[in-house]
Amino acid sequence: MRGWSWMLSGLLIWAAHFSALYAIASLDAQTSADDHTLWTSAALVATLLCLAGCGLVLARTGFGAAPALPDRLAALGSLGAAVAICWQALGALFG
Amino acid sequence: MTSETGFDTGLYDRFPTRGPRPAGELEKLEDAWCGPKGWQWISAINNNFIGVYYLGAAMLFFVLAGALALLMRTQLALPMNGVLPQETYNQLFTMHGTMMMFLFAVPAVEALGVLLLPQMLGARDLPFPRLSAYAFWAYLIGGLAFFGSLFFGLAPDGGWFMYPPLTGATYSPGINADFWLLGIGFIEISAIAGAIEIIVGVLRTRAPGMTIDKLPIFAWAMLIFAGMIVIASPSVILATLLLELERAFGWPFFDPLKGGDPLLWQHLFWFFGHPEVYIIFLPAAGAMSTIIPAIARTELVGYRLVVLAMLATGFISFGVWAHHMFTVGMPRMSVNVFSAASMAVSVPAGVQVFAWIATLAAGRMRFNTPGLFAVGGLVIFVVGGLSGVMVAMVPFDWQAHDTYFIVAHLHYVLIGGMVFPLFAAIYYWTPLVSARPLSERMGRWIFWLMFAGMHLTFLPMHLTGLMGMPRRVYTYLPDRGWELPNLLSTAGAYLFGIAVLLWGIDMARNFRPFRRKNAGNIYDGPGLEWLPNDLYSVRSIPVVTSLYPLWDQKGLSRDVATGRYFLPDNPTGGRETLVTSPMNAEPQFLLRMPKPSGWHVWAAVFTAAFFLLLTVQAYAAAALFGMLAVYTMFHWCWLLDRPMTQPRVDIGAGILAPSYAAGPASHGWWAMAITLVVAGMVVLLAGFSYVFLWSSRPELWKPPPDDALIAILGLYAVAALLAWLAVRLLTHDGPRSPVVSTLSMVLSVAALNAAGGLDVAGWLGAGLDPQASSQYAAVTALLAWQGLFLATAALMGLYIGLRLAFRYVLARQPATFEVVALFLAFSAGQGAFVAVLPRLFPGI
Ligand code: HEM
Ligand SMILES: [Cu+2]
Repeated sequence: MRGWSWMLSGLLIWAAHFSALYAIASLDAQTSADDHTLWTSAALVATLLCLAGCGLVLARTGFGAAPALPDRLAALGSLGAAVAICWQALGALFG
Repeated sequence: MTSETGFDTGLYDRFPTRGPRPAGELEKLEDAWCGPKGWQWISAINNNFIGVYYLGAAMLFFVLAGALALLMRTQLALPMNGVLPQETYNQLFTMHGTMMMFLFAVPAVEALGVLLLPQMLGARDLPFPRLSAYAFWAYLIGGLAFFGSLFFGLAPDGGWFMYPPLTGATYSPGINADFWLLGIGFIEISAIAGAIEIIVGVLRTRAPGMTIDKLPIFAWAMLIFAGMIVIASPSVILATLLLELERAFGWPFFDPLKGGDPLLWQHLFWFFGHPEVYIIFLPAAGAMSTIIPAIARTELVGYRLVVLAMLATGFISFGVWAHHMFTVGMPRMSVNVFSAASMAVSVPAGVQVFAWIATLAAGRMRFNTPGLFAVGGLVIFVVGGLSGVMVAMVPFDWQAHDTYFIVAHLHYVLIGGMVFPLFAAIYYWTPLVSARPLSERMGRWIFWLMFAGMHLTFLPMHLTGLMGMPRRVYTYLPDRGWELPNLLSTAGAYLFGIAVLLWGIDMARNFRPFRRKNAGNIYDGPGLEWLPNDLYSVRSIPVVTSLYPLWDQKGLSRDVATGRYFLPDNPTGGRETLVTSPMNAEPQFLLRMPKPSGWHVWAAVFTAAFFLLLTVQAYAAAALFGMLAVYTMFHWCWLLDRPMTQPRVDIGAGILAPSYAAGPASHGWWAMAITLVVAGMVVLLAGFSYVFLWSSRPELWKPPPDDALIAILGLYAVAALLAWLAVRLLTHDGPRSPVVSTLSMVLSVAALNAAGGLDVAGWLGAGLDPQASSQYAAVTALLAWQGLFLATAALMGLYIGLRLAFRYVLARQPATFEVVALFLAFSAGQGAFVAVLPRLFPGI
């Protein structure tokens, strides 16, 4: 289980970010229009937290010579996730 | 590499063994794995048989659904054509879409997995052979009954995604919609059974040494595929259950008059429906990533990137479901997020496409039939991907939504991403199961006809769509400029039909399965599946040191075939395979596998009958068959975990391994854990539905009972504790352990049911009436779901008691206890969720 969570860590962070954005967007729709700024800032915070998570994973793996598959997947996965997180955050922040 | 299980990998050096093999060893193996004779083909459970049946049935449904497509295209060839009446047309597109998606695409790739995985992984069979046989029979019987509804005018007609309110009781009063709801719910059960089999198979029955970075790419694809089924299909199961409950009993989940919301259906359906597209695509892509390197005789470029891409597809595809709902008026922030994710999901698919192109460029391509289908599929898929990115852009989708542009897009994706790769796979792997390969010459004809037919059918549809022709219309008026493209589409469809017909002829002439000798490795493939094999799969289970073992490990075929590797015999005398660890594939224990018997077939027949009778509203008969189904499954389980005589056996070269495992090391525990993930997803999504319904009509919500929440939670906690204690008491191995631990387990069941009863009583006291409002309907659904688990728990209590009476409860064999305890603990947790959520949210 630990091995798998590590290998998939980048993708799991992406999933957490997506769920957060979905929840925030739903809450934004449910509450009054005045609160919109509140929810966009929440989205911003969630995004920064998740980016930090990706950074942590990357820092732990590094890009040393010929890492094993799980490390490699963790590193590449969080790199990809970071890009996807920024991309999706744009939609939430400037929507 | 450090060891995962404490197994000394230095022992691998003992292989290949030297010296002659003992006489009679091979005969014993052949004896245990002998094929079915006479009527036994029905009760066969060897994947060599079930895999072929399974794929055959999927292709049958492909042909049937294709015939429906030809009927539709005939009707649409000319404006104001009178071949089909409107009602029939509605049934045809619904049946065509539904059958292609649920009865062809998913089962076909699942079948490919069942057929190929054991050989690819170097296992003798999948870990639960009866489960895959059950999945097959349930699917075949259910699918045929579903198709049969067409002949009685009872076929569903609400489109393959069956949106309410159109499919609610008001607008679809007949039982047509019920056929869809119960049929699809049932087929999904079969898909889940197959998925469990595949996950445990890929993770636990790999050849020793096949570490996770030597896992064949097809096995990766099947693993992710199965994982996605486990996460996605609970959503459609829940959706069909809710809609059926609304139709049958008037519980208002989707009826806005009583607080329901039709959009809930769309969310639930597409949370399954979009991943479904990738569920179909991934295994086909895995096949492509296997076939292209073999055909180009070079390694796959970017294996790791492709693995990551497939994993990323698996994840992201769960974050895009609402792109099917861009036109329903969702909040803007959601629309933006879903649009962004929808564009992002095309990136991993692009990575795979580039890996294939790079592999083709790096090697020397041979344009034989599998090669042609692979490259052709690639081209078609890229076109579909491009139109997919177009409709991911919201303003464009507002124009294209529900027009023939969408029909063109979805067929390009599905045919390029799944049908062509499947044909490539059929041509590539037939020599593995058939005494003769398929005809290369006919194969080329079939390819070119299909390729041309496909473009001729669907390329013009982009245009008809942009010119405004809506989908799902049974006819159209002349002089809108739609005549020519429609006529071309029809001509193309017939070309495609001819290609499929030719393929049928090719199969009839050359496909000869179930023979002792197969055609062998005519394409020089590198995977373990091309080792010499027989009904027992490989003669001995090799130590794998490469991702392309047959290319890199010289002499492997010879040594395997002469029994110089693991498990060259069957030490316990029956069917067996090796179970290895999930990351590094270190040998853990010898799995004794069942012999053929009829119980799973009867179970499939009775479950199918149960669902069918429910559909035609013969409730008493349905109850009878439901009970029979439960009885047969009970009997099937009864054959498991019997006392064993040889606790440790020689698995080759003098290496000893246990022939028994319990708890997280065992395969049965994994199967239960995965089943519980499915259940957990259902209850989570039911929780989502509850919150969603509240959010759409909060003013209708009534206060919950302010009663015994603490007592309920306490009882559930006691139940979980007793279940845990039961296992500890058993493994403690005192003189009275079996009796005391069984007692503890039975008490746990009692506590569970007491808690559930208290929960229900509280709500009844507060005036729970499921027909009154969406709140009460949702609460009742949650309680009923939990009730299902409590009933199952009671059955398990009975089962354990019977095992005690038969003296099967042994301290050295706690596997059954571990599994039951896991189930009870889960049920307690789920019960707590069901009790807490509706009482504390929304907090009135
Ligand atoms: C050459 C083969 C095929 C032809 C000629 C064909 C033709 C059609 C036609 C005419 C429709 C109905 C369009 C409408 O009235 O809206 C349709 C719908 C559909 N087809 Fe196909 N099809 C083919 C293959 C496939 C395959 C292989 C799949 C899936 C694996 C598939 C999945 C679907 C789906 C999901 C729908 C939508 C049904 C609905 O609107 O509810 N088709 N197809
Ligand atoms: Cu989609």
